[in-house]
Amino acid sequence: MAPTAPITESRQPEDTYFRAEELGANLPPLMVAAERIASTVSQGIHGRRQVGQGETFWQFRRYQFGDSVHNIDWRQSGKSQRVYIRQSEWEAAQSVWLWCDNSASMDFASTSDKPKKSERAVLLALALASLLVRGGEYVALSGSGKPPSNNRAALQEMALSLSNGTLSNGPLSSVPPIESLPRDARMVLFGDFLDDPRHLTDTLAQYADKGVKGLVVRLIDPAEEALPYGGRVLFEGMEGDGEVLVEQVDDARETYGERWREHGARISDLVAQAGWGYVVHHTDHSPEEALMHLYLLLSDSHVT
Amino acid sequence: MLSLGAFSLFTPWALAGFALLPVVWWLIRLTPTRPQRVRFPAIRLLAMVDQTSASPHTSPWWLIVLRLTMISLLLLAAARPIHNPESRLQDTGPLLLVIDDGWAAAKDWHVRIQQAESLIFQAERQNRNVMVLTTAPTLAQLPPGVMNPTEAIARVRSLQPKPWPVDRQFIADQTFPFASAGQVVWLSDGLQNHEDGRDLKQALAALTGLGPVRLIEPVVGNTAHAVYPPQSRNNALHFPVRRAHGDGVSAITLVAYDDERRAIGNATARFDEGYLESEAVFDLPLELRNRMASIRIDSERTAGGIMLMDERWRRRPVGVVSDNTLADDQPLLSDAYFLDRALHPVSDVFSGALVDLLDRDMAVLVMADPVGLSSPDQKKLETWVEAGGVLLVFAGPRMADTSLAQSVSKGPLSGLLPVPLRLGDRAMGGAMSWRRPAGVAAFDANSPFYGLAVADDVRVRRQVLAEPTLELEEKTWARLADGTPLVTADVRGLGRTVLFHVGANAEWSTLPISGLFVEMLQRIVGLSRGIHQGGDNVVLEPSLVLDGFGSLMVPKAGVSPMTADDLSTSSVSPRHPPGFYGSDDGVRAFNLTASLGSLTAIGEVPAGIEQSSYRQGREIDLMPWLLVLAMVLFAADLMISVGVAATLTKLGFGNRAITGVVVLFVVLVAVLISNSTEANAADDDDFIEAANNTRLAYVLSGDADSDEISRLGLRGLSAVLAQRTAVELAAPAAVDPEEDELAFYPLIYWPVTQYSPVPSVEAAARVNAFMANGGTILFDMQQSSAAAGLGQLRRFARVLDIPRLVPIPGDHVLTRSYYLMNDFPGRWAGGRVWVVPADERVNDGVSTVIAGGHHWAGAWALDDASQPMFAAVPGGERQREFAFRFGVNLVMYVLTGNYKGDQVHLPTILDRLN
Repeated sequence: MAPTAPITESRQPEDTYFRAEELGANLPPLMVAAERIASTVSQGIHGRRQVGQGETFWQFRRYQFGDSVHNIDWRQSGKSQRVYIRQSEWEAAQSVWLWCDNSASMDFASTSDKPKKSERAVLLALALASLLVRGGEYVALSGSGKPPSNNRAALQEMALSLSNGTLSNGPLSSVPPIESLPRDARMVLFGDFLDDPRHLTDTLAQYADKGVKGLVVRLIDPAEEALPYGGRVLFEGMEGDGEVLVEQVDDARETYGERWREHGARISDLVAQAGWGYVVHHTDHSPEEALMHLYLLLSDSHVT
Repeated sequence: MLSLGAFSLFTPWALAGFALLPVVWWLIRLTPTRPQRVRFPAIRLLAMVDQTSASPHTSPWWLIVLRLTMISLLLLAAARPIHNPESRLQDTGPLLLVIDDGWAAAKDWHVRIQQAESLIFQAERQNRNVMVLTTAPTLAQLPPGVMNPTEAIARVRSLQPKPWPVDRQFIADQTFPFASAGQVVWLSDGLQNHEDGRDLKQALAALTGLGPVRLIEPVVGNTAHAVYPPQSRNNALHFPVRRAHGDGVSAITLVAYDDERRAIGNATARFDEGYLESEAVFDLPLELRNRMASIRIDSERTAGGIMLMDERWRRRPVGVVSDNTLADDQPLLSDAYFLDRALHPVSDVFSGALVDLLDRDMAVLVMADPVGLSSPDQKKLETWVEAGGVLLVFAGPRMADTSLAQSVSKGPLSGLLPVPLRLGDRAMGGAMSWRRPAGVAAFDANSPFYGLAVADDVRVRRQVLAEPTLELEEKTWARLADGTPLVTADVRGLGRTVLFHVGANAEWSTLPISGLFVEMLQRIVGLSRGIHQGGDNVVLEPSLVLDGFGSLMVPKAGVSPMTADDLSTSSVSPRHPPGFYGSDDGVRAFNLTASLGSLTAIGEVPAGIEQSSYRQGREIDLMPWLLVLAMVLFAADLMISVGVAATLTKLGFGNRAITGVVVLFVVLVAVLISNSTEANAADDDDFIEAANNTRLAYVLSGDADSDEISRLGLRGLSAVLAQRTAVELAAPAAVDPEEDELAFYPLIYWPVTQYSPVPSVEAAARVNAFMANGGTILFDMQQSSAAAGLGQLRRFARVLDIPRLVPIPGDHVLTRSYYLMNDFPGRWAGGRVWVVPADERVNDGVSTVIAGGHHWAGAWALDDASQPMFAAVPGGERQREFAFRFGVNLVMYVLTGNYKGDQVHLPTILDRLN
């Protein structure tokens, strides 16, 4: 598949990476709204444009024995008789964690000209990561066990592990791992959320306990919504969850549509209750649209 | 068995199965198809869908149609439909096949054999034995036996039609090895052997005793035709042609061939409604007529459709020596007048000086009352006689004149007379005589005149007398009542000399004004070249005989020689098949039709006999084809229900796409069917094609052979033009002025015979426009005696704008437009060429019409190997060359107009420039 093809995602990690970069290139660098800058004293990059505030500066402290000589701020020390060292509070920085559902149900495209849901999820995640990195934010993959970073090398590493599905949370997990996230970190979940919504409730509750907020991006293949089959069809589950024989799809379509809408409403309610952002993306729509939506949500402090 | 037009169903009750179709339809509708398997992520939601209210599954409509078609095909196949069915054999027991294999069966022989084979195959299917009986006698009649079908097939395939009539009597006399046959089928030739048909009735009666009889005949008008020995009238040969059915108007083309099987002429016999007999008239130039070896019906290859020709029907050139134009003003006193009148009906008479006549090829020379001959003339005459000529001398006053006696008895001529003559003459019944003028005695058996009736009113008053010699008796062909020789003859070398002891005019006797005289002269002319005296008893070996299809071949063992006498009296038989009998120096034709009566169709037969006609084509059992089709549909069904549908759906095509495919298929079929109607659009292409190349055109005459000659002729001319000149013409076009646009062609070749249809008003308008706009038409009457064609051309002129025609002037541009030439021969030479008188103001001085009777296309016609197809007479290849030169000149003239005409003025122009 040609890497320049506008809609199709590639299965090669490098290609996905470039594609994602290209996708993000049209948007300005993303700065995540820092809600609690004052309380967390986390500067990060957010105070950068304000006079007098250094990039990673936290405080000057009197030099004590045992401190590294490298940390001495000589300019400050020169202003007085004391020797100061310069301290920054690294752990408190705002960081964005991304998670992609890579269970078997994501490996689905109703027709060959549409991307699989997982491909689209990876594309969007990487594009978002790329945007964030360009904005100077720290990005990490949930479950990868790596600390957030804001350089491009890390971005490529993320692309590789997303595309290969080599995340530590295993190949078939449709629920994000509960791991210790820093307080007030942001989480972006990509998935189809076709499981029982209770799993999602649990997950969101656990994140809420830690003050983590974020976005839920629900990927939908149009076939899942419209059920465009006819006649007698035997539907097979994709995660070993049984078969359903429908005698006349045309007749079942309406009822199924109701179930589908109910399910969607529940997910939407759950997310809203948790105070998270909710994005629905159909794989037959353009990824730019979804990315723009994500961009707006992430950069808008009021929503999050 | 159920018949529906060209189809019939062998087991029609199988169609009852169609009653079950609705049930099948219901079953197919309800039988679940194998479900389509789809991997689907949202299976959990789907499992929650309550399906109890869903309507039962039905198969898609196209699948139902497909399967119902399949089942219908199987039902139809079970009904054993047969296309073009052979009627079934009845009962059981052996099949008796009676096959007419006489001459008349050679027409459509393969149809007969096919029918026989098909019947035998049927017998094979029903386990019957077959007995094959042929009706034409053979040399060794095989005892007919009961065979199994395989042997019968071999036997039937080895049958050949015989060149003689059938003998049905022998069937009536036949004893059969079985008491009853299941079915008797008679494959007849449609003709009765006897006019009252009694032999057929007897044979049918004998066969009816054996079992049900089916008599198969050719359809009306499809029986064989026969050509009969010709009559010679008005210089033309009239061949009677007969048919067996009087229904309808039909035409039969006869083609004359020479002994090397080259066509030298053709003629058409037209049958009017209700007539069984017609005539084909061959009016050919003498040279061609004498080369006729056979006349054949063009469209039939039977022994009856061929007339072998021998010397008897050839007109021989007879030269009458006349010294001067003496007594031309008193014809009744002239010897030549009586001779000409007597000889003309059977031969071509030339008169002139002896020297001139000897230069030409004469069969008989007649000298009336000759006097002396110069020594070289005598030498030449003697050589000519010894080489086979017949010299016929009449006595006369000069011969009898005693003063000239010296030259008669001792002079140059004496050596050429059959008997020495006494001086002087003998007069009877004169004033000084008491004897009455003498009559003629009956002819002896060894005289060539034997058999002629002696007229009582012939009286001889004066004669010359022969010296009595020992051989006189032997040399005498006719004598007077008192025994004096009247006609004496002698053999010299290969030829002979004959002396009439009387004059050739009515002065000495009344013989020249009697019918006997004509017959005697005819006999003498008939003796010339090849036919020997006493030939009636000479045994003639068969030289070439006809087979059943009318091809000449070397006789097989068992063919016996026969005497010339037998030839004229006996009829053909296995021992004496028709053909040529005799040796190289003279063959006699022995024809089937010489002893054949008129042709009578079988007509009514006794009741109880099933009559039918030959089928065209074999019967076709459609069952295997229907089964194959059903299998194809079955395979398609499998593919659709298993693979294709799934694939289509996977690709995102729903039912709509499948419907689309079906619609597309239907449209494709419709397009294929409607394709044939698109031919109309081809007209424009024809015009473009015609306009893009310069080409000659010929007018279709309606006679395929003639059209082919025109085409090949113009093709040959085009080839010669391409070789010798800068003119490169495309292949000639055939045009029909009734339908085709003529404007594309510079020159149109138009063969005109007396049968050519006069163009209709529309066609005439088209032709007139063609001529008015600069086109030229070459009318070719195709016969040296172009009278008939010319008459037709006159009729043409009533509707066409043909201006007054004049014989071509010597300084016409046609004589110098490429080659310099004075006359314009084609296949025939001589004759005039007519043109429109040149008028510089009209059409650039180019004649719009050129007419002649030279059959130019015949001379130009080259076959695919570029070999000439027809002889050019009399000039041979040199004449053909001139014919081509005429063609080149003609095309140059038509294409360049009066360009070369200007050359006429060149000397004047040069003079002025000086």
